[in-house]
Amino acid sequence: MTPLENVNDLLNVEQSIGVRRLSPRNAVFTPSGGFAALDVEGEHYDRVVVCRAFPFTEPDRWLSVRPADDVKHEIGLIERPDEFDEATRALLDEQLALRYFTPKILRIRSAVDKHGFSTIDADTDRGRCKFSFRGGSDAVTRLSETRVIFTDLDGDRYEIPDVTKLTRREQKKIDVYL
Amino acid sequence: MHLHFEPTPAQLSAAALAKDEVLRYASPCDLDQKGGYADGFALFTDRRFLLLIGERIAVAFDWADCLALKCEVYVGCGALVADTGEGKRLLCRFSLRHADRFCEIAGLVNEALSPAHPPAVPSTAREQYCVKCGAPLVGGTCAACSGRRVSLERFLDLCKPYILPLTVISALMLAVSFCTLYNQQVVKVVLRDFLKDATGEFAGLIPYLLLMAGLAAVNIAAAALKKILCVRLGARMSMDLRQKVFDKLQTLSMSYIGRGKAGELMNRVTFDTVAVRDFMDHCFGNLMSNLVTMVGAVVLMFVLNAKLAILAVVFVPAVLLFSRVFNRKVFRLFRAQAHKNDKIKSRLQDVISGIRVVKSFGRESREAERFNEYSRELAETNSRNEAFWAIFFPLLTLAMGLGIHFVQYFGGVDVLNGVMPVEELVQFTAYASLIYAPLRWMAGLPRMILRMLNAMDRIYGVLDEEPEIADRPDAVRHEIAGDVVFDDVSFAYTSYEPVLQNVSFTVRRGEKIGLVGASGVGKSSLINLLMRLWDVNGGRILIDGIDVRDYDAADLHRQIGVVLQENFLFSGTVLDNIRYACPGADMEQVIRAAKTANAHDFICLLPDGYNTYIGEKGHKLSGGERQRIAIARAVLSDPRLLILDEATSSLDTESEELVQQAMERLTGGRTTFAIAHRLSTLRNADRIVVLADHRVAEIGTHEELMKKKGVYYGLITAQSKLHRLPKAQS
Ligand SMILES: Nc1ncnc2c1ncn2[C@@H]1O[C@H](COP(=O)(O)OP(=O)(O)OP(=O)(O)O)[C@@H](O)[C@H]1O
Ligand SMILES: [Mg+2]
Repeated sequence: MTPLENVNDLLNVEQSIGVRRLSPRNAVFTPSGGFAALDVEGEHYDRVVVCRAFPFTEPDRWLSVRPADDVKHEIGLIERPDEFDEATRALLDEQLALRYFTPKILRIRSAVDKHGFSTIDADTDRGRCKFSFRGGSDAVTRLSETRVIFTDLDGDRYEIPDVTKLTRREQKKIDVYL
Repeated sequence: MHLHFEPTPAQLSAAALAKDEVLRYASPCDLDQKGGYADGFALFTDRRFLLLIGERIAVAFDWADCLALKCEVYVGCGALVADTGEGKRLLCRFSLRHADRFCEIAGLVNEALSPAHPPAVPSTAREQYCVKCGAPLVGGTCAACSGRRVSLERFLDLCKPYILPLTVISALMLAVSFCTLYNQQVVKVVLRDFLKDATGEFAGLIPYLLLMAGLAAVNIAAAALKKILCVRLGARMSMDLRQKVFDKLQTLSMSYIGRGKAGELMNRVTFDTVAVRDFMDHCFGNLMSNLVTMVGAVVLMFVLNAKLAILAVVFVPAVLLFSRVFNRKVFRLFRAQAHKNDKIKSRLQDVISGIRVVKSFGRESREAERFNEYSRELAETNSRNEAFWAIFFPLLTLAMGLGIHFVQYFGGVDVLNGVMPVEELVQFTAYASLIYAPLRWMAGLPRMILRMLNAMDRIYGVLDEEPEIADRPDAVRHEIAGDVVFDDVSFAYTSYEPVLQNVSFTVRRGEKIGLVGASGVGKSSLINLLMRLWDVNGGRILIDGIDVRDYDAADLHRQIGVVLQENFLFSGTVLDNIRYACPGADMEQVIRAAKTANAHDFICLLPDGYNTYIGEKGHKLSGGERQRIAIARAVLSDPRLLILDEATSSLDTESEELVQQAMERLTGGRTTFAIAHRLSTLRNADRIVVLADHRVAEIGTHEELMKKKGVYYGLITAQSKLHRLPKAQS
């Protein structure tokens, strides 16, 4: 795209603030080599990335679809993925699973503080893991009274969907961080 | 980054490499294709990629089919994607723990695949976890694997310089214990010889009374002195520590400070050092006297009467247990309360500092409601805690007294039967009551020690950190003339998001360079590198032919004047702020600098002139006024290199023009880098460097670039077009 076209884009307010919805009526997703291709209103994209606009509050709705080679431009938004047929939904879910990885903690085995780091050993829905974060830091995000996300030293995330679902003993182990 | 993990023999045999196949890189790969944790291991040989899951080959891929390898990083995970020419292929997935590693490997593989790929940029990212044992690294080394000393030892180390006051305090503690215990002995003699049968002479009593008074006086004096010394020692230790942490923080590079949140670092400087002080105050100061008093009392009790002594101590474990449970519960309750308290405080702070926003959106009532809600929560927690305290504290006291009641009952029976003299019972009861108060205190001891050790841990976490950017031992001090060379500079904050790639250009001394490019393209990053707030990943930056990494950092910074994009003014007066980099400057220099920045006039009109106090971040000033003070600060020290990052963006055109003309005079002969989105700002620049797509897109004078009709031409036309818009509408 030449700069001049860019300028026109900039001035074309309609296009830059308009919200294009993708639905079964105008969009066709097809699998391609582990990724998803998209045809919409005559445009074809070999590979698109699917992002959640509200990953915490609306994980299953409002998906933003962008070309993989130019992620700064949005192709469109899927407000309700459940309008699509089963195969497409599976494809979208697969793309989301590829992009987002946040294991859900099911059981806390231990929580240890040492040398200014806190280390949690836990079972998650993706298997067992052990991660550390700096003590007293902003590594712990409370999404709500009961929902917690830990961000470890590398930026990996681990979620406790509902703290009250843990046993009392487990809650006590992590009490200090909350 | 560690790129050569050793495969286990089982993995090697599973991989079944050909005889002449060379293993180049190897790394654990912790996710499977579906996104579950897996025991994966990725091998990069000279001819193919292999992914082992357990001891099974899950993916095998020949480099012959590969045009390029790409490490893509998503949210909390990443993937290695091969471009086969016909399409993309997902090779393996991993969590962010290995993302930097795979990105670096991908770069190296690409470099080997084809000379068309740019040379791989080595990552400066550090391992966060020990590659051997998986424990988090402290300052780049593993505490467990390197056998780093534990906190308690370090605490003792820390105490070493204070050995004299510590000895004095210990002696005083012993004195207190002795007085407390010996006093009861005197009481007993007085009872036996004088009071019981009322036979003794009053004259004989006087020396004993004097002795008791003396003991009490010594006791009080020693305790007071001990307290004073402890407080003083604690304050000194924490002050020394605080100084150490603060000094260390200043030497640590931006990347460390950027990583930990500012608030957290502030906590380390303040709270954690205070925790050490508290320990000295409350804990260490009582430790020995409590211990000695208790042990002494128990021994004396056994000497006096073993049967009663057993009765008295039999409840000790129970009391200890009860106190521990009680303390823990209290701790939890009060932490919940503190948490609620914090919440209220931070909400209040938010609302008050953002009051303009609250008011302008008319959200006052909603904010009041929310505040009420928090306030109610706090009140509820408060009253619950107080109720708990009111009920259980008397119970605890009762339980602690239980032993004494038993002693009194059985002892009383003995006395009535004439088996035991009454003065002995009195003495005994006194000893028994002496052990319970220290006991309750001791129950809380483990937590106090733990708290202190945790604080020490965190403090040493900072002190042990190796600065990533440190002066070389042979760092040079050099008066800068102003020739700057960017030589194939590549840079990224995280290795998977390149910010600058292969940037090369040369600046002659005295030249004014304008830096242009879209928001987020890396303009500010470029000058961060020039100032050496970060280090380049690839290539080098030369000033006067010397690599910036070879300069003495403080000396380099002295000669660079900067106006940062997020210009920050310190709490203090206008004068303090202008003189920040150069505290010795005289008033004339200050006024000259202010005039250059076109700030003198508005400063003089402030009620307190240059002595006007500007609060936190200069809230009392307008955006443009703040910028002009920052410009004055930058030009005051007569820097050899001037960096202006959007320095005049908040000024009206007229003021900008004035500032520019003044600077023109001042910057004559100085190398200047100016960043601006408003391109008219740069019309005096000798040359313009246009950044696009992380690279230098164009370099040249305004005229050259206009003729070229490239990116710069596009930007200029866009701006003039936009500026014409309002006219067209009116
Ligand atoms: N401390 C940091 N850590 C990680 N990424 C950063 C950091 N600072 C900047 N970035 C990222 O680096 C990229 C370049 O940022 P930079 O500040 O250099 O842009 P810029 O060209 O100055 O933009 P602007 O014109 O908006 O000031 C951005 O994508 C930004 O998000
Ligand atoms: Mg910037």
